Amino acid sequence: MHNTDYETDLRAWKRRFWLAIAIYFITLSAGVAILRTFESLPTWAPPLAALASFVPAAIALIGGARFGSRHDGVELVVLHRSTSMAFIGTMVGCVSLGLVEAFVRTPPISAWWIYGFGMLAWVVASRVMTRQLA
Amino acid sequence: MRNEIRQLREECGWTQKDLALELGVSRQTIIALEKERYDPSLPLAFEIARVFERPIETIFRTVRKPKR
Repeated sequence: MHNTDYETDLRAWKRRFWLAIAIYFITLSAGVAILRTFESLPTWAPPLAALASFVPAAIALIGGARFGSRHDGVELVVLHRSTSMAFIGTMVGCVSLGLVEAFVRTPPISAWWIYGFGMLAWVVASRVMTRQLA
Repeated sequence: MRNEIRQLREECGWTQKDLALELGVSRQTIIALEKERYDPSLPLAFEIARVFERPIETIFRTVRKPKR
């Protein structure tokens, strides 16, 4: 644990995080543009384009992990617990939805709904954990 | 877990922000510690002991729950 100023380091990490997110959207947009340009692409091309955008996202996550290792504190506990809770909630939701879709003939829903549910679960869990601990 | 952080900080004449800067944590962490809502990690507990120049067991003490 280093004695660096928490607020200064937090601002620096936020800058790197948003830069990585900007690169993520650029990479994703480039992937979409390439896929739209070429009509006859192999089936593995769309997953590959999505996977390419994972690299900047991973950079943002690694930056967060490094920040967490430098600064101990209640925020780290809130982050870990709320992320775990949201992940489990979203996974259970996905499995339930998958089973419903397997047994009842309904049109499959967009991944955006799953993403939205996951983010909402994360926000709610973070609020609950912050109220409990901080 | 119970702790003496608030008393020790006040004895030193430090604000919560001063202690947060000294420990390299957020002020929210100091507030949570003083309210005894959050138990620090072992490295942070040792850092707190180092900052106050006190043995760790004089700052933190466990509260045993009565056996049923």
